[in-house]
Amino acid sequence: MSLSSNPVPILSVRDLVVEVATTNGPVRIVDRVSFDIQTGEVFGIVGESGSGKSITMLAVMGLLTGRTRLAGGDVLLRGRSLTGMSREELRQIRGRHLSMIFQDPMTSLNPVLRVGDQIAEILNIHRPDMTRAAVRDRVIELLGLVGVPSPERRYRQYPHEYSGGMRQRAMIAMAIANDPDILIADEPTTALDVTIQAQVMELLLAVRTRTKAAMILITHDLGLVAESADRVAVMYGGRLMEEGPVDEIFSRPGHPYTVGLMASRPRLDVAPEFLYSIPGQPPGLTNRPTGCVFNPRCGLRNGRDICTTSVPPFDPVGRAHGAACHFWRETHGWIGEVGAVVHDATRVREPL
Amino acid sequence: MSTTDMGKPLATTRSFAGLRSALHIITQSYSMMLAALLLLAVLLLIIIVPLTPGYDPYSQNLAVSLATPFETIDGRTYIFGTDTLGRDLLSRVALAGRVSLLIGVSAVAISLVIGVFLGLVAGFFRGVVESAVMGLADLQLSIPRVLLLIAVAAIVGPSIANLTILLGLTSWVVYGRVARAMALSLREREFVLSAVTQGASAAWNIRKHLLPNVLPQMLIVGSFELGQIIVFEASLSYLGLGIQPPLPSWGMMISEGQEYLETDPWIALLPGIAIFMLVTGVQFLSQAFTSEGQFDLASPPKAST
Repeated sequence: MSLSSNPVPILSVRDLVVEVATTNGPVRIVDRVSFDIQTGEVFGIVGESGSGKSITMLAVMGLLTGRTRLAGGDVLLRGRSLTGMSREELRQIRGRHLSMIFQDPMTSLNPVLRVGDQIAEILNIHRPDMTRAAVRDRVIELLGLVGVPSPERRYRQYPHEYSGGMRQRAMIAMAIANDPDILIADEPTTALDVTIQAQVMELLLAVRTRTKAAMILITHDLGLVAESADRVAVMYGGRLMEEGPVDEIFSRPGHPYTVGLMASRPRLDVAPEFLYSIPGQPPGLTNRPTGCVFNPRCGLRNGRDICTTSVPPFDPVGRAHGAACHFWRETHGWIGEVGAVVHDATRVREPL
Repeated sequence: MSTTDMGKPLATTRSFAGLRSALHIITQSYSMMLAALLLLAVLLLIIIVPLTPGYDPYSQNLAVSLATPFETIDGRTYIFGTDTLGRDLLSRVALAGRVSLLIGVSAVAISLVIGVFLGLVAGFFRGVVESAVMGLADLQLSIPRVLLLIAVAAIVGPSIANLTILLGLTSWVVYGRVARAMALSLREREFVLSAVTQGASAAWNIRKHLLPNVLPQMLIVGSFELGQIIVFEASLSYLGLGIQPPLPSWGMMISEGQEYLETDPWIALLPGIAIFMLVTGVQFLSQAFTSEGQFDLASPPKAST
């Protein structure tokens, strides 16, 4: 159920299902997730911790291990299915076509190897024909490209001689070393200082424009998504709740969960004690609700049965915009109520 | 690591910086100073003595047999004295030291390579591979090492090469276990996952990411093992299954001197002291490395550029 009109998505995820083995049998932690990524676009995936965003990306890269396994669906890279590929074929794809940047640059670099050599490694893996000198020149070029000052000297340094922002820059250099088609950034700025966050994000978008790679931005920072992404997918409890162009999602959210997420942002004009929060807890592995996964916490449900008996279909709610809610038509009217809750609280001046 | 592409002038300043920081580290702790002193003495003995004109570990001269240390006979001073056949003990202790160190270092190298390889592979792949390797380790541990060495040495016959290989083959377990334990935690680290997402294969990860991280610890284990191996070699030679005369080893010299322990104790005592100094020195050295923590073999001296 692709909502976008472009004919050849660079990456297409179709009805992806990931299961984790528990003592009570398999539990679906990613449930029929589908989306398309177009060449050169920035696709944001938002959701709270445990919503399945990172595991979806690991599944896309074929890196599910331990008790998690791919239980259904398909991942197509330029029309080629990744799920049917051999281990060796997948290995060739990783780092060359699909590249990933992790959250914490402190732990993503090997402490006992020189930073330059670690970047060179990525080139060595995929391009064994390159000479030592060529690899070295390319690494220095990459370090310069990501804004590491005096790259020749920095090449020889170890990760402990780099600051956090510099390390993330080095990780970005590593990720773009082979000009990948898709850059997956898993909360790339979460572990960084706020001032550095902006710089790193700016850099990430700049190098992406330069390499013309598409980017999947996994985050729970809605502000980041609003600034950087072209399209957004909202995930909750392993399901896709809503997907659409970023301005659509922010101006006319179709799913009550999206509304809740946006209302939960700290605002400068509201005292922090009155910060809105979605009532309840996200579902655990064992107590997943029937029907719509969001129904126990939903403010729009009002005790209606269909929410617990049937899984809502992913309905088109606007131009290239879809939401998985039975009552998405009511959402717009309900936004006012959530706003009122926040507003009332400010007036009453009592903590929620 | 790419030290090859550094300019010449830089390399020299670097090595000076390395020497200075090495001296700095040695003077940091007493155990390190003691270790350096003991090892220096042993190394001087086995390196310098064979270069001196009086060096002669083999020729016998019954006229000067059982000379006490520092006794001067016919204008020649025997600093360590002589044995029953009148051979110069200083020369023999020095030569024996070379033999013992050669065997010790080679055996440690063999077992370290085997142990680190098996341990990393077991810890990285887990599953069947891990069970097989650890089963082999347990099997090996269930047979007393001395007994095994005696049995095999008796079958293949005593020679320096056989002895070294045997000691090397039977000592891998300790490296294997430590390497596996470290690999278990390292394989979960993000830089390994990160390398996997960049297309690194298992072999690549083991070589590039696990190995450099376990090597410092392995070298420390190796330094402990060196002392052990030299003592093992001594006991095997003592039993006649190691070094064959007239080539001396410290262990064999002790066994030869044993009969004269009451009348001429220095024959057995001097090589004994040499073993003691070497083993203690090495152990203090590894202790200094482990307890200080600040000194990491794999990381360079703080950049002076």
